[in-house]
Amino acid sequence: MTAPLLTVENLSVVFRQGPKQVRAVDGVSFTLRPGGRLAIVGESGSGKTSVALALAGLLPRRGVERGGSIRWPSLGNSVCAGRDVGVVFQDPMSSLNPVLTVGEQVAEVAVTHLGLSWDEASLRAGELLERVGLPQPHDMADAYPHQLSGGQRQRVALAMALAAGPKLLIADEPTTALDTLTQAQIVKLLDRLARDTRLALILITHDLVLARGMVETGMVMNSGRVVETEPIDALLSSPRHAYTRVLLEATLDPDAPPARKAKKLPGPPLLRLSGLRKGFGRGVRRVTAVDGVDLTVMKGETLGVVGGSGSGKTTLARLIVRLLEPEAGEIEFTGLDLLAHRGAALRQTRARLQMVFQDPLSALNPLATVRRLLSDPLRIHGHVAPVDREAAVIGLLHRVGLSPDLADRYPHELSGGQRQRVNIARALASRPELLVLDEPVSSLDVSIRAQILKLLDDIQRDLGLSYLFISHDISVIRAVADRVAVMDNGRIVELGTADAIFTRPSHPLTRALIDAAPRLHRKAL
Amino acid sequence: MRAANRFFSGGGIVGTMLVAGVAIAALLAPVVAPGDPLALIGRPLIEPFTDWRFPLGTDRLGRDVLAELLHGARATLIVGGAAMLATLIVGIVIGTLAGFIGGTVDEALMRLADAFQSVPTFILALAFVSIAGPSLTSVVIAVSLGAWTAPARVLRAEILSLRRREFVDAYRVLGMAPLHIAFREVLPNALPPVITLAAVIVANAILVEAALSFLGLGNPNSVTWGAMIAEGRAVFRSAPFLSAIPGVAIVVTVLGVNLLGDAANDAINARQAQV
Repeated sequence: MTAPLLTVENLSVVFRQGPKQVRAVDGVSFTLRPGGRLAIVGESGSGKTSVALALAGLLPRRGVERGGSIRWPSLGNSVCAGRDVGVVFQDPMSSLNPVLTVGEQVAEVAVTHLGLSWDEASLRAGELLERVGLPQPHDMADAYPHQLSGGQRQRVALAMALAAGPKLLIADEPTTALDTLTQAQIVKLLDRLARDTRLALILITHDLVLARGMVETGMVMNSGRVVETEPIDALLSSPRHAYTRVLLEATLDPDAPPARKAKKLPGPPLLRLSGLRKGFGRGVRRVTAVDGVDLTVMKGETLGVVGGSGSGKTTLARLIVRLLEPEAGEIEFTGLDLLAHRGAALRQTRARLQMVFQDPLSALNPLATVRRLLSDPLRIHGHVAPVDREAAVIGLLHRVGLSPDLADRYPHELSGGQRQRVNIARALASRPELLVLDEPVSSLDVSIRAQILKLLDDIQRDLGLSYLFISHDISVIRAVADRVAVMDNGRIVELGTADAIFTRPSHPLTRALIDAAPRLHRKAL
Repeated sequence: MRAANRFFSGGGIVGTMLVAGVAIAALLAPVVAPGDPLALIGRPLIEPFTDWRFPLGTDRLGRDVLAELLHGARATLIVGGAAMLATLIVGIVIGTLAGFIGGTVDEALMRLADAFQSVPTFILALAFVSIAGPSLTSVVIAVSLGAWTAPARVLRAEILSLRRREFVDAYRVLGMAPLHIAFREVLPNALPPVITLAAVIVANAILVEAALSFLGLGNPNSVTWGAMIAEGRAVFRSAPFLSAIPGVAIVVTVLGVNLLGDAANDAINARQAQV
């Protein structure tokens, strides 16, 4: 038995701010053998990222107390972040320096930690960029971060983490900011790199399913404590702890039969798009984000729109709610030509056509209380008399499952799930007929996601609303949609009932999206 | 640390005391020194601390220096406050419109700001007062002419970054009027850095006003510290106190305002770190 690579005993991390203190990590112990792979699984606030920062020695010096011990028996206990431990973070854009080329950034690590000359380091950078699977790595080395796609940036961040030949790679939510297809590629890459170089891996994630297939051991954390540590297969097949079961049950299975059978919906469509087109930029740099889209949404149905990042989903949503003006095409809403509406007529129509945004915090004015946020639509559309507004606000809070006590809170005082409920309540306030939901659950924890999807389903049933539900996650679409539209490069490449799309996908992209979805169980082939 | 604690630390306390001192002097002027401060009421050129009726002495024409100083504090604070208000209002409106509307409007307003910034502030003020004639209003306008570009630029930059936040889109989808979104919802989020600019504007206004008065372009109907310095200049060798006393008053006021501004800045930063 060789010495373990890493031994953590009774680790605790306490953040202090004035009289307040938060115990982010509380009595965490584990060991990792050289080349071992561990996933730390937990939702936001579970302390998983604090563990990662403590391991990499990246905790802020001030206002933090660390207890317990972190030892590296096989490394002689003089461990240097960047040399012996490589770290990859969630957001590749903010972890790269925007004014250096990616080649320089990778080379810099080799110069700092391996004492190579710049020429040697540049060669090594080229090799590393090739190993992380960048196309044309020698041309790519001269590119700046903003010229790369999200997946390419994450590959560069990985090359930097590997540049000094570390023994351990800590990957903190490495795929959360990426779309499903890119996510699957990065997972495969991490797996291959770790195997090739006998690199130990600690994967920090909120997604149990992502951990499956990548690690041997899963450690589930909740509010700073370890809930259970088990071999990953045992953890997934027979979880012992109630919290692990909650996480598992909230996980969406991409192979389950679609949640909804397509209904026969009578009458003319509520929303009809035809030949919708919108581009950005001019000349050679012009990108057509939405390129001739025809779609209908019937009354009471959920139309799911799925596609990778850059496929034009969000532009489509913004065109429908008139945040953007299309270059060509028609939008017909309840039989009216929406694009002809201006001024007061547009305001009236807007009440019937609302949107829920992707980032629940950014979509709420930081200086407005929940009461004010929910009163705004009531005031603007004037369908509730001023004396009844308070009651209407309370009613909306009840409708989305929030306590009326929250009415005086500011957005930063709410949790992520509560914020998204406020966003939904605000969209419901003007009594719309159609809600455009732009990735409404992609920034939420899995257990919260399940609650929000349930809430949206209840609301739809009670109020007879129609949803246009946009997501990059095919499993979410499967759970909510009656019909599905698959988007790529601004076009609808496949459109059909959820049943047809998931059982007989005809377009290669649809098949790729379904295959790339992370699975709890190995797919029967 | 709490925002309030941050404010009342070191410089914040000193700044508050200095500014409060000047404000009390201005308020008490009619009580301590009733009547016209420009009245000739004593022997000329009495040294300070020699005659109990005139603690700070008298000037060349036999006017009470203490009375002039107290009434001058009024003029100084009025000019500083009014210039700050005028500057902020103009700067905030122009900065918000430029940042929120963008495009041609933004270009036009920012080129206008460039034009004003390319002329030295004091020359601009001097030119305006010499054309419009010296009065309280013209001095306030003269100061604001050179100062409005700073808050306008800061605010435009803030609004430009806030405008991309989804809550602005959310308000548009709700059907809220664009001007309402800009001024009632987005602007308050952009104000903190502008509020810290306010102190700089007040301090600058006090200095420009003093300089204009020194050149004889101040408000002729009220006592001002700048005019007092100018008045003392003729007898500077024999009675340096006539220029030194109002000079010290200007230094103390400007120092106090700046300390107050720094403290407000720290407090706002601490508050934003909490949110």
